[in-house]
Amino acid sequence: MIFRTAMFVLCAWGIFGVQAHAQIYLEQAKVTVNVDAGEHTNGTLLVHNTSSEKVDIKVYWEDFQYKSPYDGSKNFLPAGTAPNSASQWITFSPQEFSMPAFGQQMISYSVTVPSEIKEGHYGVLFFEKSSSGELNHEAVTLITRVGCLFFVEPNNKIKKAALQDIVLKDKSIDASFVNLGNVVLIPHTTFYIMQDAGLVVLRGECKKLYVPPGASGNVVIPLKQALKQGHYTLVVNADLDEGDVVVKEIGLSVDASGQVIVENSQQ
Amino acid sequence: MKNKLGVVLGGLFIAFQTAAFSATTLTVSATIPAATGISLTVTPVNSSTGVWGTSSTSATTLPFGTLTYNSANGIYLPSNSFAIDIGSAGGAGTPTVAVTYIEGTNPNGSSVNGGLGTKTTATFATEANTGSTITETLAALGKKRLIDLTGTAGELTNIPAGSWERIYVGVWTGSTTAPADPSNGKPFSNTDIAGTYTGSLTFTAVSL
Repeated sequence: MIFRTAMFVLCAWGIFGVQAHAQIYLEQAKVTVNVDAGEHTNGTLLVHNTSSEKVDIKVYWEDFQYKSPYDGSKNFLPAGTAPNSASQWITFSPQEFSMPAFGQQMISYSVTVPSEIKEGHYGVLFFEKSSSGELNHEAVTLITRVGCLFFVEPNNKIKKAALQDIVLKDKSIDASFVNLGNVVLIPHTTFYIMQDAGLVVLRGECKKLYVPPGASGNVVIPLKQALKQGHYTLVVNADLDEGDVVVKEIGLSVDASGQVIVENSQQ
Repeated sequence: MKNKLGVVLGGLFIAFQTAAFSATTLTVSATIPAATGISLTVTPVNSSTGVWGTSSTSATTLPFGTLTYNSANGIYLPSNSFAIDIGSAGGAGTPTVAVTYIEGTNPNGSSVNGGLGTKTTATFATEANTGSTITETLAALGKKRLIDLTGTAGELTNIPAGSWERIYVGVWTGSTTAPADPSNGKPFSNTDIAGTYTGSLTFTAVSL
């Protein structure tokens, strides 16, 4: 619903200049560290102040967990409270600093893995713009923070998943992507539907999922066009990165009325 | 002499062939890291006239100030509401931004009258820039009390390229004009205990 349409002279309002900048700008949105038990590794992050005013920043750690429907949305939790927290393994410095206008600051971090690592450990390093507002009247304080996600995973990680529970919906075929491994899986899933003669009649990709170990996310394969009567094979490829792929072949048949039937499924 | 000329021409031919067919491929590549950035631009909007004031990119509060009594409706109102433009771009990444609220000081305590979060609302809108025109569309998140912005209730995702999100924050008045104030909100009135009501809005930007 459109409830207001307005015409503006671009330079008069100045809002576009603002949209092009970020007051806190973190070059690395995500750090992935593949480690062995007992390993120690270091790294740096670079944060920028892209505004024309000094910014005070405090740095702190929180845990996070991907949450259902595993579309990337997360729960943020206090450090050390998630079962797969990496908070005890990470140190960083500095924890507070000021950046002058258009300045930048390097943050050093180190990861020290204990003598055993059985699964992926995760967390987020937040950079929060400090507020020093003294409130005398009704006011809402604004807090902005950007986070760098940390994925600390064993070198011998188990990336294993299954596509199961194939269900025909109104205009899609849905499947459950079940994470059977010990790290978060972020499958990039593509599919194609092939006639018996080998001709591909439909192909596409599915929305990314962010599935922690033991959880399952819903893969939706949209049927964007009606299929003619006949027999088809639906091939689903879930690319788990680093060369790992889960492939599922599903037989489909379409009757004279256009009704799709999921015939069978095979690995 | 003829033999020498032949040797020279043969050498030139071989050199030409070598120069022509021993091409070297230089791979050109550049990697832009997935970045995360956030900016807020706060603009006060006069509650009576609707005139927009001066925008600030360094504002750290939405100061409603001392409210004034509106005798016609029997409620207290501020002179301004606020528009917050959220810039989450600025790099190669497309972070999600979650807006959450935490109640601060509340002179009403545990009274049913509630605190600032019950008496203020956030209206989520998507701004699309098409050339010299900005089109504003009410976002799917709609209008909510600030106190209801917990978890993913205020999570901004799937923002179209070239668009950005804007949040209008104002005091609850019971307006029924679309988008109407949520029915579970409450106004500041004489049933509230005098004092300072505060809260904080946190804008969190992380990648997926």
